[in-house]
Amino acid sequence: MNEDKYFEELFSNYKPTLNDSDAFMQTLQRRLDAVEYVRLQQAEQQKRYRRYILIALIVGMVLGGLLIAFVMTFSQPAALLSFRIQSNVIELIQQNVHFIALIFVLLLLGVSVVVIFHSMQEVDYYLSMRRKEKLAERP
Amino acid sequence: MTREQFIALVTGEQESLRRFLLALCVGHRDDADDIAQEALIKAYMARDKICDNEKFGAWLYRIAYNTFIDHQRSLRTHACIEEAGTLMAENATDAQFEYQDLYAALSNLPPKERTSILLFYLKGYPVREIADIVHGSEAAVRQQLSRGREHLKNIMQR
Repeated sequence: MNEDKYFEELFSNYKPTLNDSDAFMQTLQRRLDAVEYVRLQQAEQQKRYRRYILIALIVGMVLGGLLIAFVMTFSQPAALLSFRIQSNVIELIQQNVHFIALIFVLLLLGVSVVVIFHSMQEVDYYLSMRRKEKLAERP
Repeated sequence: MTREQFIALVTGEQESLRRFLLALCVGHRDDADDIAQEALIKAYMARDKICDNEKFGAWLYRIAYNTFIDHQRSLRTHACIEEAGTLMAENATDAQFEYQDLYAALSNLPPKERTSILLFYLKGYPVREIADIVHGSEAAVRQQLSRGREHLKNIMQR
């Protein structure tokens, strides 16, 4: 009991002077502003990213559709390859060569669309950062 | 919880939190204020997780304690705490000098004992709540309090 009283007294007298509370709260407010700014930037970035994905998807679908339609206009498989070897695999490739080519072109198209939109996003982000820097430099 | 509500709650609690952290950092003001700022930012980012505003204080102390532990793991802070007893005597102002004995004694306690002692005697938290803050059992907190009291008394009476 006495021991408890000793510690209670020891800590009840503990009232150290702190650095300025207003300055502490102002620093906190500034840091919270920075947190909000970063959150806002991340949300904007995500929004932009979703928009680009949607555009890439639409462009990819339209171009892919056009390409498929173009291939479908071929009435007979064009004899693009000719092997003089008797093999089921070679025969299968020979018969479906335009579909195989189509898949390759579609893959290439898909990758190109993603790369183009990714680059556009990077450029867009760079320009927006430059704009913000210029605004910040203004007196 | 809106930002305004958060700021209002923090304004009422910040001095007490900083005093607690100052004792936990054995009088190292800059570290205590840095940890307080970091803890408050963490709390702000997780403010939607707190449903009961009445438990805001205990929740804040749990974040502050975790931040202190993280901070202590860094070499810089660790070195500061190790050297706290000697540093204070060299560059202390009157205000800092006032609690030099207490800080020197606290610096000899392991962090968990120090935290339990401070939460119990400085903040008046019950053992159950301290266990919740330091992520331990009630029995472990009772043991830390008992050992902490013993250590502190031996050091203070030297």
